[in-house]
Amino acid sequence: LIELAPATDSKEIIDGSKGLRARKILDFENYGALPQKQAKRRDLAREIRSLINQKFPEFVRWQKSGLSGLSGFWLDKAGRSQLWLEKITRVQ
Amino acid sequence: MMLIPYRTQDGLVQACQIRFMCRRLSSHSVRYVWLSTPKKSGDVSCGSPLHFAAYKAFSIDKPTLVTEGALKAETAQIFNKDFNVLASAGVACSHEEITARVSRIPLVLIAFDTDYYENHYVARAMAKLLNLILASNEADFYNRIKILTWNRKYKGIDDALLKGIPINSQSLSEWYQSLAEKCQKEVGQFLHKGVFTMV
Repeated sequence: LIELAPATDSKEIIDGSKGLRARKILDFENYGALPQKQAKRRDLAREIRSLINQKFPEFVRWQKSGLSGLSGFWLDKAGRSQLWLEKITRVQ
Repeated sequence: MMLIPYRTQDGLVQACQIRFMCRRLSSHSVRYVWLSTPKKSGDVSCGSPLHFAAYKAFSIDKPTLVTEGALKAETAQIFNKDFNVLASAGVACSHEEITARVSRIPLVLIAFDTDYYENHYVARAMAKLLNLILASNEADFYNRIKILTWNRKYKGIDDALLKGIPINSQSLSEWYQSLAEKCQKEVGQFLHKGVFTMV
């Protein structure tokens, strides 16, 4: 997930007043930028599900889906891969 | 929204926290949440794991600094390369896991946010952790635990380090004496009285 949505996608995360550089943390590749838009998070979830299916077929065979057991990932009623919340306003 | 990995001692990502990067948060909202949706994910939760900063260099022979939050831990590690640095998600979290990790460490440096001076709930949580660590070790372990302190204007150790504020080390007794009265009462309930006379 961090590789697919790297922190370097966000100027605020890298160079903001509370960003990584301000904290003297310079290994940016170890951090991610979770998209604000649900559609983008859904795209990421779909891509990760596809990667899991390719790389861990034995695991997937015995699960409801490749996302089973992955914290923060889930399937909606239509069977689409989802990542984290549908609406961020619930926590902000 | 920043994704912050929480790594095991082996470097494996066992959970991620999300940090909301907006300047101001509305009331009753939080700055950090876990990337976790147990109600939607068939009760799969990430729990509240510890984070090992600079995990490759972790050694039981080094002093270990314990703080809250992976970002704080990483900044603290940058300024203290000779220490192990580990972080829980908060002062009230993962006490048993912390205790298990520091039980054989020669020097344990506790560096939680400075809320404990005035907030008795925070003081109580810290006292519970200290009590657990002390109870799990030999009688002389209290001499191997120090509380790191700094100007209270700066909440976290990362803020203090980044601003070049001096960091001091206190014994448990000195730390107890520095607390507000209501916090001393909370701490006194959890820490064995002998701790304050032996140090």
